[in-house]
Amino acid sequence: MFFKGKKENKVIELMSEHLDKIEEVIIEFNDLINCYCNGITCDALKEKSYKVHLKEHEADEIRRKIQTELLAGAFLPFYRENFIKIPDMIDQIASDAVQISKDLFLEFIQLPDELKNYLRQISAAILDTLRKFIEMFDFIPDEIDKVIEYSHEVSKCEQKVDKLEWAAKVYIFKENKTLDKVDKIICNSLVTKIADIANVIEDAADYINLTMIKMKI
Amino acid sequence: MWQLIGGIYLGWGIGANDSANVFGTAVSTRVIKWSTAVIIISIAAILGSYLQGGPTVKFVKTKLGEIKDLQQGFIASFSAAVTVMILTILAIPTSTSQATAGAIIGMTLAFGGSPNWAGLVKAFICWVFTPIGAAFFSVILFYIFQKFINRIKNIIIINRIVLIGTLISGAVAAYSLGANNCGNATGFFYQPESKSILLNNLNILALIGGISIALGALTYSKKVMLTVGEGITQLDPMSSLITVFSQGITVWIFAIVGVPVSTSQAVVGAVMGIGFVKGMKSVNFKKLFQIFLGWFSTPLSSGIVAFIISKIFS
Repeated sequence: MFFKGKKENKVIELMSEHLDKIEEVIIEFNDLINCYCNGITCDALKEKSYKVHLKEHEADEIRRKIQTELLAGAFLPFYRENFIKIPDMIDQIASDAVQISKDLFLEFIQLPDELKNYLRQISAAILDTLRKFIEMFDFIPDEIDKVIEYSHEVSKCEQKVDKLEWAAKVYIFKENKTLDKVDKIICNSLVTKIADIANVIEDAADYINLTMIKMKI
Repeated sequence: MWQLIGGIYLGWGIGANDSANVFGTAVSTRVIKWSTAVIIISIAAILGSYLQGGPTVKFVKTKLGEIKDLQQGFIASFSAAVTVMILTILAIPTSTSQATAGAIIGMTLAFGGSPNWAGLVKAFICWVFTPIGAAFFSVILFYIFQKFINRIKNIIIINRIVLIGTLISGAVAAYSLGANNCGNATGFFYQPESKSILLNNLNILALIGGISIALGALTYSKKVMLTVGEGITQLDPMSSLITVFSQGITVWIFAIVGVPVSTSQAVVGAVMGIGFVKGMKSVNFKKLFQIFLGWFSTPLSSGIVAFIISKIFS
């Protein structure tokens, strides 16, 4: 009874709910990327982009609830500062997805088929990275060692995104003969921004890993 | 009986200053509220003084010098208080226990009595072993806690254990503070031959000492607690609770031995012990030198002050 930690359990529950919402954002985003690569119209893309934005807004609401709960006294202050930062880091995943969705709508450039293929693969690999991250998070609060172990798995998934990002960039600058200089720069920036979502996921996993280590002696 | 005021004032100072060694970190890092902390300190210190404070009361009265009557008790306690106040104003780290010992010896010499040098040597040995003992206990406790905590996989349980551990270790340290330091407050006034129960009963005198410590904690500890606590917040909560627990055990052992010691010096030793096992650069030679210097300078200063005040009064 004394060890139950009602407030702490509530925070973990909300964090899990937050992550589920972030997953929904990334699923929408993945769908948007696929539709874009399959030749969606500009108006339809705008609609899809708005859907990503709405999901991100819902995630934001949960993030605020988590932080309110934490400030009401969940976890000792020494650990609390970490738990306050985690939802912010996770929220960044969704914020980046929203930003890219908006950029895609605004730029709306025609991509070569090879690059479309790379984008589909990168987007799918990001979703895999996020799912590995969620698997890792599911071990909280009961399995501190598993959380630490799984943060390495997230890192492995992120490396896959890195490789795809590199391959896409090599294609843009070395292999492609149809894109002009400006388009190449725009495509390069697009690939970087999309692949960066995986970096944000990895950073959040590393931070959670650090928080778990902090809680051990 | 008014002479007891000198001792009560000393006890009040102990409560106001040394509460920081018990819950300073926990309060400054908002693990617990100041009000909760001082309530725990007050209850535990009063309990400690009443249940186990007798030997230190007896030691202060009988093992250092000759305190013939209440007047002399007042002179010694007043001198110790003045010394602690002057050294604090000069920002020189000091210990009430060491000031008490010096004051009794100075006063005894001034009235032509013979100090108990063997008692002083015993006290000195205890003072030296206070930081050493606390460092030793913090190393041992660190390994025990490490084994225990690292077996627990649930972060919520870890969080609760640290919170409960902080409260328990604080209560232990406050109990020890009461048991060990109550003698500094009222040991001067122990009169076995007196007809007054306030003066002839070790436990009652120890209780008065404990109550004065509790009063200090309740009325004037907040500022010191926040200042001292913030100074050592680089410690994580687990290390902090081990530090406080080690300090409590060490001071409690010396309460059983019957010699008042410095809780601040115990904390310094415990922090160094933690630093040693955690591989941090924690050996603060300046602090060690201050402790070393304090073993001599505090009793010497209070001895001189007591000698002068005694001569004026006589």
